[in-house]
Amino acid sequence: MTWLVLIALILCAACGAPLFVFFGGLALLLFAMVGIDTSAVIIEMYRMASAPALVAIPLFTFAGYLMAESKTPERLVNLSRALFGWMPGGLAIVSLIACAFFTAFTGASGVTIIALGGLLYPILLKEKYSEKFSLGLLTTSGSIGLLFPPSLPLILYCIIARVNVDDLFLAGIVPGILLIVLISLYSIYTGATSKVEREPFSLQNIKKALLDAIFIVPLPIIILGGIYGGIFTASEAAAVTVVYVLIVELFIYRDLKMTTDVPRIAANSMILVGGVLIILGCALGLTNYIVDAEVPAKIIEFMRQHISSKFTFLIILNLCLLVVGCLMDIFSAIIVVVPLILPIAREFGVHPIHLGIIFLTNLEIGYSTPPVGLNLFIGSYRFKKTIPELCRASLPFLIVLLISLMIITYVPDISLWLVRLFRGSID
Amino acid sequence: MIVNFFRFIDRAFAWIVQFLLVAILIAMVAVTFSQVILRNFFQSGIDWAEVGSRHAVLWIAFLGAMLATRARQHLNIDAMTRLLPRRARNALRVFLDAFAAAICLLLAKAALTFVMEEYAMGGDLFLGIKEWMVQAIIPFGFAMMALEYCIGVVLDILRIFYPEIQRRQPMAEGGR
Repeated sequence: MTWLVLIALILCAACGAPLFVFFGGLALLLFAMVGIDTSAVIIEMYRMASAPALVAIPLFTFAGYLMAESKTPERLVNLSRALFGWMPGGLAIVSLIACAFFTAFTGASGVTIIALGGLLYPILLKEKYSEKFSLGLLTTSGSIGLLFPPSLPLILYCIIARVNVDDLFLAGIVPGILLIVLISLYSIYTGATSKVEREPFSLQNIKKALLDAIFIVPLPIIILGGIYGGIFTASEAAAVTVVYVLIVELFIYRDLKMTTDVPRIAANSMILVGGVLIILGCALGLTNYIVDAEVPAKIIEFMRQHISSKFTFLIILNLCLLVVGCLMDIFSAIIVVVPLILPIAREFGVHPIHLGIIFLTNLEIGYSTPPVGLNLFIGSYRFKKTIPELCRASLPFLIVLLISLMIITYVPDISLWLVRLFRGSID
Repeated sequence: MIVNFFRFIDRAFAWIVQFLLVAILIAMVAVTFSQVILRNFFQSGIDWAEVGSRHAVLWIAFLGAMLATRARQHLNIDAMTRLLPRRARNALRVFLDAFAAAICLLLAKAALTFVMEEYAMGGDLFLGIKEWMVQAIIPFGFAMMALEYCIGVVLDILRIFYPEIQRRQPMAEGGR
């Protein structure tokens, strides 16, 4: 009977049942199986209300959606165009930076491609970038800022892995820059060989664009400065961001209207947040069961017999996570897979912060891989292209991302040195 | 017509949920922001600010999930459904909605037991608000989601016989 229900659950999830239904159902089943009252599932779910860092998720997402719906994307694109447009491949770098900024704030939920893709795609084509290159660039850019604070997956990882949010925010910065630099190099190479048009360098333009975006540019500095200057916590930083963005968009730029736009955007952004948090709630019961049943310990035991070195472990970890990234969305993957691999990684001497960065980089790649890569679907909807077309277009970018993943995985210091620098030693 | 009546109820209810959601979100921002200002400039603070916002997140999670259910925008693995032809996809949807309704109902029942126990214990949270009052959103949220899925099943079956019943337009275009 239990097995039948289990198979039914898995089948339904594979056919497209909401994932929270799958996790909730599974938790109910497992608790019932060992004879614990099912209200225990809800006790675990209620633990959601005891994680202070969770407060940051709805607030940062709200702020990100507010910016995405205003004219901030245009302002940012204009500014980075003035700054980098004169370089070979400059416009591609512009796209990367603008997309990274938005992904960091909207949590890689596809909003980046919706808000920026439509804006950048015609400009890229106009400056003689090939269609294939432009599509690939914008599709992969939809998740490129994932490692930068205050992205939603970073915060979610901290809550699940019980890592300090401030530490992971620092850890993501250098690997995030590495990803952008490597893709930029590829773009410069493409730009130089295919002779795309460039814009003349003009200090006048930079000044004009900078003045236009003067209220948006300091935002990352306010957030990071506030957190590491000890003025506020990460969750409080999120509230400060919302207030700041509201003031800027409502009263300075006047891009949004208080009575119509704000409630609509709030409700829209909370659909995503509610969707993620309900999965978190349902999966909390499940992870508790997994830990109680000593599943990680059993896997460790098994792995000890077959794997001896940290190096082999990291290779297997990467391969497994790439498969996970292909099959699951990033939020569910963090909630379900992290509790399983965290103790194993510790056993092999991989620091939880480093593991987080490896994990998120892997899943960032998963965003652009079939069959469930969210970027592919949103890109295909936004650019009116078929999924196989987008797959082919993003292939060169995936290769660059894979190379970056190798570097990030096997050189832990890339993730850890900034944390050490600011926080002294890390345990 | 009866369908119009249901549509009215549905819209009114969605509007209430949305209103609550926005109000809680704005209140959370206001309280947390005041906390920062009070601490840094006046060396004081709101002692229930943190408890309050942590529980506000619980409400946001469930209200947001209710809206996500209504718009059918929950995260799922949808590679399979994309490949199916339209008729098969509709049939599958009826089945999946029924399945989701059943699980939500079971979760609502479990949550009700939980809240009843908490009610018997009667712990205070903040400002005289009892713990069970805040937790009540869990059974309520799951029950409403179960109802929403049931309505989906009924409408989908009715649509087989009366194709003129229109599919509800999603409230607004979301990220997904």
